[in-house]
Amino acid sequence: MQNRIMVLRKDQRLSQARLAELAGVTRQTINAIENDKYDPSLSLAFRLADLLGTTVDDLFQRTKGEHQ
Amino acid sequence: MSRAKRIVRMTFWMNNVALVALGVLVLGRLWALPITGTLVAMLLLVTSYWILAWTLNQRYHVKQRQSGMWYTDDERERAIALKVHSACLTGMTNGVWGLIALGSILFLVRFETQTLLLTLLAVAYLIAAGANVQYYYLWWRYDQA
Repeated sequence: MQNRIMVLRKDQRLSQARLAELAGVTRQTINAIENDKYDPSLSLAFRLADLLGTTVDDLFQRTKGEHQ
Repeated sequence: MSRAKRIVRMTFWMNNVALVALGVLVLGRLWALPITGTLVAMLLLVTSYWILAWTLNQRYHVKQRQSGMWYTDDERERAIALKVHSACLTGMTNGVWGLIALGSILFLVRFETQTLLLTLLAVAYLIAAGANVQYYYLWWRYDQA
């Protein structure tokens, strides 16, 4: 699952550590999500979308070949 | 490196120290090693536990260890812990079945009771050491952030 977290985070001049702190997770988790190594739970996805001022739909996109 | 990863690394090495100390204690009893060796092993065992408890409390601020995943800080680490626990549980179950099978075979071969018990003890020791390595390795493999 691709996402635009890194782009939106940089737009808002937030570090991974700061975003992690705001979302209540570790910096490693934000890094893993940004690098498509971990798919967050629905509640974390909503929290991230809220923090980055967007919607879950805008933040996450299905990659090609993923279950439709 | 995340706090959870550092705790896993610390407990891995402390478990190794405890396993070596236990090994020396058992061998000391079997081969009548000098009492100094037994004392050093006991000291090592107590010290390693004390160092682990102190470090977890003071450095990693662990207050309670009732939950099985007390060292995790968020959902990703809990997911990793669940995967690792599941794999280790399977490994341990297979190990215990293997131990029962080996015990049955050795019982049929009619080893002396002491030899039988020592062999089972050695295999149990290897299972514990293997589980420790497996836990550390799997955590490292799954936690790639």
